[in-house]
Amino acid sequence: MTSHSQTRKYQVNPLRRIKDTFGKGALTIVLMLFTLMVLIPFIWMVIMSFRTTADILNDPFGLPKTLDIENYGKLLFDPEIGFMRYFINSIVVSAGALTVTLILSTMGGYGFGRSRYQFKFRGPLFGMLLFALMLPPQIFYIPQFTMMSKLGLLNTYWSLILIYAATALPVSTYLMSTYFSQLPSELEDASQIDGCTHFQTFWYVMLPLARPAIMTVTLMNFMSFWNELLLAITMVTDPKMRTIQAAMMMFVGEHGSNYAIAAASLVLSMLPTLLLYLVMSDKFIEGLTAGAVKG
Amino acid sequence: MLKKLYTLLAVLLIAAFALSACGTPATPQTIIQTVEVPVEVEVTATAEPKAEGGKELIVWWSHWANEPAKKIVIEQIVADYEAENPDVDIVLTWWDKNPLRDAVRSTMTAGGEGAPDITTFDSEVVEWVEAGWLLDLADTIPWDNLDAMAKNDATYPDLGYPGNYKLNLSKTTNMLFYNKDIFTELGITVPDNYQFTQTEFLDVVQKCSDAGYAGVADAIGNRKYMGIYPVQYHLFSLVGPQEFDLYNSGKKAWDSPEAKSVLDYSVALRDAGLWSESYSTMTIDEAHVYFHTQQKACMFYIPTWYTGRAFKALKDGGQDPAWQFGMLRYPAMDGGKANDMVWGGVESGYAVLSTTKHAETAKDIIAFVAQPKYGALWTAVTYSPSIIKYDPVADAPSEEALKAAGVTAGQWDWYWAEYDKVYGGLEVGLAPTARCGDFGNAMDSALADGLPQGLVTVDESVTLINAALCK
Amino acid sequence: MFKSITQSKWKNRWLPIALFIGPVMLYYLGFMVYPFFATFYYSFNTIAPVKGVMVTTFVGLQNYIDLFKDPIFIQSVKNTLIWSVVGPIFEMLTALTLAFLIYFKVPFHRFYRTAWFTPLLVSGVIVGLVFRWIFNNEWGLLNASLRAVGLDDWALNWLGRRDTPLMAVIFVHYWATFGYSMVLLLAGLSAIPEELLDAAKVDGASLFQTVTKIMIPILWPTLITVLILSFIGKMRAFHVVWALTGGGPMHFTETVATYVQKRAFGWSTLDLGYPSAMAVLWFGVVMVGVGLINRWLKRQVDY
Repeated sequence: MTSHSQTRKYQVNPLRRIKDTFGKGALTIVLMLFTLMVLIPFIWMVIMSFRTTADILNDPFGLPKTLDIENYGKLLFDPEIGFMRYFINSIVVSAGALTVTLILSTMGGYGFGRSRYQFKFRGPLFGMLLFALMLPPQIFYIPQFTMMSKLGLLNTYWSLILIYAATALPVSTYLMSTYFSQLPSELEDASQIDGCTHFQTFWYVMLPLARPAIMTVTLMNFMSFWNELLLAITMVTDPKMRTIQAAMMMFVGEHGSNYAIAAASLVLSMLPTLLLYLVMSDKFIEGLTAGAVKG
Repeated sequence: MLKKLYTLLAVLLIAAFALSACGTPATPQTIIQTVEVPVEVEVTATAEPKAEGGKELIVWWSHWANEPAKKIVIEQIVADYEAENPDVDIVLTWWDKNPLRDAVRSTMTAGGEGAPDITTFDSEVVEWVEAGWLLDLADTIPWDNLDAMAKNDATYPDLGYPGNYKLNLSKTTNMLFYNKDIFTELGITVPDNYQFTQTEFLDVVQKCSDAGYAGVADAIGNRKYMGIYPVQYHLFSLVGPQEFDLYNSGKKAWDSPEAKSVLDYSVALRDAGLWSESYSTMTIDEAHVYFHTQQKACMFYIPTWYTGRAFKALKDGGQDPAWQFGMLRYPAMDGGKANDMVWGGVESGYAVLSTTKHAETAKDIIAFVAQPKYGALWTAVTYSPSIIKYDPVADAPSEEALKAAGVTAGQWDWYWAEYDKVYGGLEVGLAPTARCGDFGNAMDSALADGLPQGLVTVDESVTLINAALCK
Repeated sequence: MFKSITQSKWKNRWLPIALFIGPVMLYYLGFMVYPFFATFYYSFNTIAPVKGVMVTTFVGLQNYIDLFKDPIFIQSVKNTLIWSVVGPIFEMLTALTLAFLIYFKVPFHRFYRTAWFTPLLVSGVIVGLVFRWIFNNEWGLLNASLRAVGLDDWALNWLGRRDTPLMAVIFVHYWATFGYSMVLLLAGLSAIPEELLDAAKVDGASLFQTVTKIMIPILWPTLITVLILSFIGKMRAFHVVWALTGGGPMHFTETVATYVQKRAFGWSTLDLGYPSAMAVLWFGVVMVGVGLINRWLKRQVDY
């Protein structure tokens, strides 16, 4: 029985071959169509951004006549619109929030993940950290908004940085703790013997080892900070301080009938994440899944 | 672990309930207080903080980011004021109406930190007045400079707020445009008095849709009120301004024969093809373009602020100055009391927020705006009638001023000619609308979303509206 | 001597714990737990500005009672629940199939893996906006394509009818998030030890049998976790719905999240207590839902 199936595997059956290829071909066609459907909104948006509105109204499907980057130029450099400023705002906010998140989640992940730091309430505390994931964002907005107002931080970068970091903590800490829990403990013991304090062990030994997880946390959070919209429009009402998402929203709201330039603004606002992803897609995906799923 | 979580939550819940019941103002949110005595809203002008360089900083948030003509006028006014008052620095920020409203509301709800001094205000946003967020401008505005109707707008004596909370710049007339080329193409002749009867109007719509055009270009992508226009126009014509105001404000039930007949008529119009295919998603700007550039609709229910969005550069989405459309009077409703009247109103204006630290200056600016020369400038540049009275000769803006504002003389004269021809001499009926509670939302839901898209019947929409009437 | 032992115990045990966990927990307590607690508190009050001052009035459970009588809230609950039950099931089925396809290395699998993940890069609001254009009744990509191939009858006003808007919302949100589920399931699949699969092959198991009898049971806990994540995601989804339909038309796509937003920041009745009660109630429902899924579906599989 065993040998039978084994030999069968290596027999070249021409009919089977054709059926296989045909099957594979059909499958590829179906999947390609599906992928096309998935990617079409992006493609359409990018195409629209290179055309003019009059052109789009006449023929929604057509291809751009010239690769006209006038829309982008206008968006970025026209002093009335000046998306450059919003880009910078977004970068400041995202980088700031990322820094806060990294500091807190790596330390926290280390504390929650290493078994030597186990204590009675660690489990429930950790659970408390995670339950915020289950709530609609509005449940926090109202008090967070009044809190920021009381602290006098409305319309500053800090209001967004602090809240973004807070919302990112659960998942980031979870990721870091899962990763840290998988590292062998001999390294810690060795460094302790060498006379390192806990913090030194963390900083010089364990943290460098956690590079993959840190990269994941960085990519994932950068993406979500960059894309966040609701808090961005609530916390920051001063138009000069808007992030690019908020500016894009306002822009499309005001100039929505100018489809070409609205499409360009959409593309601009997603450019960084898209580029980052294209360059690092493997790392992105692998990192996200490493240790992310523990039943 | 889940169990421990539940216990923790139960404890929190009980604690929160207990704290609430005791009415503890102990939470750090000091804006939340149990107050017995209503607090004085007027801000007295004591030592006002100065901005850097010793200048007083006034923050002014305005709607009309997308209407260049109005921006020019306001910026001119601001420049003039700063020239006359060198120790005042006005920072003007342009918004679209919806985000502006949201921003003011959020800031004021949180206590006013970061709120502007002057903001755009619309008369129907009554809750701002009830919340005490606006200063009373009754003593500030030079009423003699304004049309008589101004004093009756943005005042809410029924609700206990008899003051005036808004400075209006323009007075609007609600109009009905039609595309002359399409009418000629379809062989539709406009009666001599520019008014179709109810049946004739229905017929016109039917002819339009049979030929592939939309009856009207109005759409509800980002402004729900456009979808309600037909019902409002026709109800106005049928019952006259006073009754109409009651219906429109939620003070009268809509199951009367008149209201129902108007709703039935709007359903008939819908079935004849009144609405465009893009009705559900087109924004207000797109609707303008739909009418004047794409020319896919026969008609357009729109007030006089049409010019703000349409009389601008072609590349910005404006219309071709050489393309002349026509105007119609509202369809004459059978047994209508106001068939020879036209529905007038106001658009967005300005108010002063109560959290301002520069009340005196802000009020001074408001009074400054209400000068005859600015009324003339407003009309000349925005092609929108001004509520500020002016002498057309003495107060007319200079040639240079007009040129600087980008006005090409004579470009839109045909518009005024048509306006005078069709609406000139008609009595203007006003219906200052002060809605209560959720009535506005119910109207939008039933009359903008529901009926035009066939989602509810007339009876269902009446039930919805009546459920939200003012108590 | 005892003193020094407890001292060093504190230094050796508790100090590092406090050092590492302390900052995170304190920060979290301040910026997340406290607001959550505050919302609980708000839900028992009416908080409205009166003549310029925010007035808090205790109303006990009145807000909650009113919720059950609120037709829009009931509609939003219905919509959200339909979505959160139907959506995840559909998403799991398709994501699982796609994950398997990539796992078994169909041609171009690396390309697919990258491509199917891209919708996640874009913010929910952009997704909503772009799809609004796509669903435009007149010139949107969808209807234009349908008309181009002659399927005119199918070119409906997707966002303006009674039945289709919710479908549109579910579909768009699915488009935006299925990549994530697929990737997580793929990771779960990759964690299955190779030896088991080889052993199965040697025993002559067909592909179908391998998948159903071996891989899925091992994958089961992961699958349920991903299902829970998907469920939670839909219960609280906001951005896509808000940008696509704003909860309309006539509340046919109203979700609890959009209704909370409207009550708190949009509508004319300025009262923060009522939407807080909504948020708290919904939190309870989500917890119960997660608990139930855990109970019913997560079972240990012996193999």
